[in-house]
Amino acid sequence: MLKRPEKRGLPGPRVRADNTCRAEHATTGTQTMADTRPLTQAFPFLGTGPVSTEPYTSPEFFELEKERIFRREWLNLARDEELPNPGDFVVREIEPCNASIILVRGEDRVVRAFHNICSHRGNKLVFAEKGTNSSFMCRYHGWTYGLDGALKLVTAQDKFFNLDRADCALPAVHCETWSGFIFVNLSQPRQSLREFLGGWADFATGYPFERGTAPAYMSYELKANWKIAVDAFQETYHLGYLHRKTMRNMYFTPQDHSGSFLSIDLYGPHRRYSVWANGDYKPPESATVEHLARRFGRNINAGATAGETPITDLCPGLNPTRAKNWCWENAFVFPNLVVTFTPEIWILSRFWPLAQDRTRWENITFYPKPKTASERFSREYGFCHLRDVAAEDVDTMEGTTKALLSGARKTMHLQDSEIGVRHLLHTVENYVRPKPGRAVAAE
Amino acid sequence: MPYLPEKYADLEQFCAEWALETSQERHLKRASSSMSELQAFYDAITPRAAEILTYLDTFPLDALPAAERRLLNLCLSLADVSLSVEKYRVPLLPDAPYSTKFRADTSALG
Repeated sequence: MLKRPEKRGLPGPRVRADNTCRAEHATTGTQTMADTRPLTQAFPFLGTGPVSTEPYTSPEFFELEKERIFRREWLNLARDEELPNPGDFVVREIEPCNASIILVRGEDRVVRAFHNICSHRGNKLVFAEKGTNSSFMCRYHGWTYGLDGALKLVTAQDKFFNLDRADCALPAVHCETWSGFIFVNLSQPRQSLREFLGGWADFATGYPFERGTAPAYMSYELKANWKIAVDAFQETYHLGYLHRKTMRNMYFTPQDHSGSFLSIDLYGPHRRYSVWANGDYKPPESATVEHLARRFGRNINAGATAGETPITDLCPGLNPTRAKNWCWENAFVFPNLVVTFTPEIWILSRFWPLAQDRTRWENITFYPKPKTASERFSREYGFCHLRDVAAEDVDTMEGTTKALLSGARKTMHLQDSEIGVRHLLHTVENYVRPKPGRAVAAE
Repeated sequence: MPYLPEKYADLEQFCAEWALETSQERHLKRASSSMSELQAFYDAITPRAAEILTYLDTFPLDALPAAERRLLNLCLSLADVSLSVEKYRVPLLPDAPYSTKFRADTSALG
């Protein structure tokens, strides 16, 4: 049943004053029953009809996405922990805008962002991916910049003509941090990062991101449209089908294999949804290693976390219906950041469009640093399993992109628990081709 | 100095191929092995895996002696190989061929 959060039992959607919406499915005991009443009912502005495939295939649409989304909106590039000390820097690429960004922590401990370009003749200033510097010197002619971007040294300065040194500082990029997530905005931001995150930040407040001191990385260049890649993380319908070999019986039961989730909130362009696990899942007796991995340390894939939700003491926004079979929260920050919250570990994915049919995918799982060999073993098992699952997604993302490019189908069909796919498309349309009068959750 | 702790010396035969330092190397090895090779490695280590990990837990993870580190690397290979043996019954799932092309790095885990 759909419930009003504040009046349990009354059906019907609720659009909150802050332009966020929630829909919930009822749970019975440790089992989620597929509900006949659609979650989508809570979001009438999204509609229920087929959606166009054009945004996934059109080069013209992609050009507009680059300019109207990626060049205008806040984009997450890094975590605060990557730059612990003054002088620490990372260089990150924003390919859809041909931008290379230096993030550097200054002597005053503030993280700043600059375009990675020397003011002299436009050479790329920093070629390393990360490091620690007291200044940045261009290798071409030795112009040198401080950690605050100011031009500190011009070699052979007396040979230049009326050089305006202040104008030759590194081009600064708007940079703000929320809860350790470092974002930049390549334009003049319409709103602060906190305003942009809105209800999403309220939901995620309190999560102990900083506990994940041991990041494990996966990355790959996909032959897929960036939204098709994001979409694989926006619904659980496919878990019982595409992932039937890798995640057999973990996230669906004989009673519910529709991919329903426990609840969903939309926060303007962002969202989150609660995922349940089959609390009865047990590896077969013969799976000695899987049993061992589950014994030593819990993991998103090596052991569903049904039945325990102590993390909600720290982060009350997780599992808002307090379902007993909740196992993780999947969340999305527009346009390209997916964050998965579990009690012990958290995962992020960023998707960087390279062309309408190519995307750079980066995935980081943040584990607590293992203290023992057993724990290390368990984490490796979870990582290897996640890699196999992701490989199934990747092959499918590429297959979908290729098939859609044939133009043989002009529409696609979305079921109730594919709201996230519908919501992303709706939001992208609002940015790319805003229409007066369109119900807007993205503004 | 032994290559493995003495009581596990009989597993030395697997070290050259499986005591690999990185997750990427271990996964490439899994992907390029036949099912019978994976099964042989799995059968040799699995019955002793719990005991091995209990033994390794007597050392601080960040200060494992070289022989113990090699033993742990065997176990980390087992974690990956077990997915083929226990779940899929093939080295790599045919619908998921690109996992070997991912840039993967678990070194921060220790």
